Amino acid sequence: MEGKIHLGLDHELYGEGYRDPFIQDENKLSITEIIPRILQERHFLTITEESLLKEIEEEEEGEREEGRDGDDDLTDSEGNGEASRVAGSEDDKIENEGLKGDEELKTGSSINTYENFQVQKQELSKYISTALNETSLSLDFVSLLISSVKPNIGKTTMSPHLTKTVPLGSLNSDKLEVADPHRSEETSSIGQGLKLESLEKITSSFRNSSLRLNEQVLKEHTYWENIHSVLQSGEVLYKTRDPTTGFRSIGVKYGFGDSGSSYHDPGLAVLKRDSRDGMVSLLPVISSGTGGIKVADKVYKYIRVKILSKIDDDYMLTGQSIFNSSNIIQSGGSFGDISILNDIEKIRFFLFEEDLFSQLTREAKTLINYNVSIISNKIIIEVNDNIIEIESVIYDENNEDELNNLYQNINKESSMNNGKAQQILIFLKLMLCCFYKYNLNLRQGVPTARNKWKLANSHPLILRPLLGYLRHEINFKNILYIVENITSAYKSEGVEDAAVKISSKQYSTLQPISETKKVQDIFEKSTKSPTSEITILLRNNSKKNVLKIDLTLSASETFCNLMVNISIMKYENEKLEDGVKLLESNVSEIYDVEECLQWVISNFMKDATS
Amino acid sequence: MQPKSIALLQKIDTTVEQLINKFSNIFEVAIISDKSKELQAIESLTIEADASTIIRLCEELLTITRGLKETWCLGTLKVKQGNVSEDLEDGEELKLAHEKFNELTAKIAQFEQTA
Repeated sequence: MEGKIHLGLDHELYGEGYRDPFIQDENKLSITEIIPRILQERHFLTITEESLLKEIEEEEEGEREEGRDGDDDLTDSEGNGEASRVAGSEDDKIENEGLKGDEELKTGSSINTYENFQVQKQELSKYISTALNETSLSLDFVSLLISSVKPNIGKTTMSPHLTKTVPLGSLNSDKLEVADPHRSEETSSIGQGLKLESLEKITSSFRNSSLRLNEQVLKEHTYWENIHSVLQSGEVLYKTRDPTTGFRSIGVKYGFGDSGSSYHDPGLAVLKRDSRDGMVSLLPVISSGTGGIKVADKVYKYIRVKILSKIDDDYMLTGQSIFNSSNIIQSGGSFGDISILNDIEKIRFFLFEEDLFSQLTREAKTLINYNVSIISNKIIIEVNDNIIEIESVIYDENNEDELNNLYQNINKESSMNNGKAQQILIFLKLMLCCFYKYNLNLRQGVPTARNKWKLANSHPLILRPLLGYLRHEINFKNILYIVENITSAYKSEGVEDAAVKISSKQYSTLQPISETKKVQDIFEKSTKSPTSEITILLRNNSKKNVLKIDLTLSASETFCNLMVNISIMKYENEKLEDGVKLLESNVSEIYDVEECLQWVISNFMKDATS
Repeated sequence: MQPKSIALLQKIDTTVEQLINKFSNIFEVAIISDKSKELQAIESLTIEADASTIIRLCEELLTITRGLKETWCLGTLKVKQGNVSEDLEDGEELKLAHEKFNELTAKIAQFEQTA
């Protein structure tokens, strides 16, 4: 019986007091029980008498050998022998019965078919129930075997009887192997190879990643050094995302939003990390409409002021501001070699220029009545024989000739207004700062409705003061000229008893700075309209009376309209007491002033001479 | 201490602990003795897996330092020493600025004389 596993049960193991009803004693089985068992163990087709006899003989021989070992087995072996003998005779009987059944079928088939069918049916159901029983037994066996490894799975398929009588996991199986000394040597050498291989692999991977990490640490170091220097220079940093890669990164706010600027570009840039060496570069961004950010296309532009003067009926360039490159390039300066700080300074400088120009164009639109016009990127202001051009020029760092005005400074005439152009540029920039300051004050104050309205509706004073002061200066000179003209007529005509005294004071409303008084506003002079005074004292010697004419020149809100207040007093004595006011009037035309003065003075003089 | 810093310290602790565990695990598994062929193969794979975990943990430590730097740079408000506005308050410089500005305004106004 090679290749088959023989399972047997030793009843003695259970002990005397306990007998399992499911485990049957083979010798006490009835015929009906033993036949299916025989059928299970072997097939009748292959059984011959000789093979059976041989089997019995072998078995008896084996038992005899066992019997020699111990006397206790004697009874058992006898029993077995009987059983096999019984089994042998049973086989004969069954064969006989089968023959009989066949005969019966042949003879009495017509009579007892139904009965026969019933008998066979019962037999069939018996076989089925036996099979079922056997199956459930083997299921129990397998379940018990499994329950030692996986108790829960085994438990579900176990019969209730088994769970009651046998504890879970009490059956176990194992594979027995013959210990092979060559085999273990082989596995250990295989293991050695495998482990060595994997250890080598991890060693190299450790080395590689340590190099990689080291590089990364160095990169991080330069990156954070850069960031730190930016932070140290007082920039505003914030968290953002790189619009090109989508990675998290740090942004810098270089714009003037916190300083009071209301320019549409808040001046944002991402500090982009170079993936190779960790150096930081500046990537200007603007917020896109959907709340995200996108890369901004920055065109660097700067403002240039040109002055053209009328020379021989032709306008010639007489002055031009120069671009001061030290504004943006500070190599070796306070920032050392860190280019990122220079970049930030540079971009900030150009943002300011951009802001300034946009404010200038906004303001210039309202001043079209005063000879201010905008042509493409140029604001043109005409004042008498001079033209001031303010233009936005694209910055080209390679074109040094243009930046340094090499072509323009060819002779004395063409460069005589250079200083003035530069001053105008500085003035414009200062006035934008002044506007920032004003805005910042409003923002820092209590947010009342009035303050909010002011914030939303205020415009910078940049061009208006410039224009206003230019015009004021001209007006002042003209009026002074008129006054001198009128009065000198009387002088030259030789009126002996008349004396004229003219005194003038420019910007009279400005408070002189003294040691005790603190300066309230640096920009006071340009945020208030210019005011000048001219006083004329006319003395009539014959009548001993004095005429005092006060002319106050000021400008309207827009700085550009002339307003002259004329006030004339007449005094009876020279001490200027008990005066009578003859006239108090506001005029806005120089011509009116001239007419009025002429009339008053001639009248007074007529009085005096008559 | 802030809860954020406690969490950070805990994270460092657990990472370091895992690092040491994985490292000692590699040596434990490297013993050959008389294990079966299959077990040896599995163990050699375990060694490789542990090694990659160690590398990952090291990278994690690096991100922690990065996070710390970021918090330090962005999360704190820095106050500059010395008040800037005070310098302007004491008058002298302000006065000078005022004078200079007035001068500048006068200069830009006087166009005719230079022209």
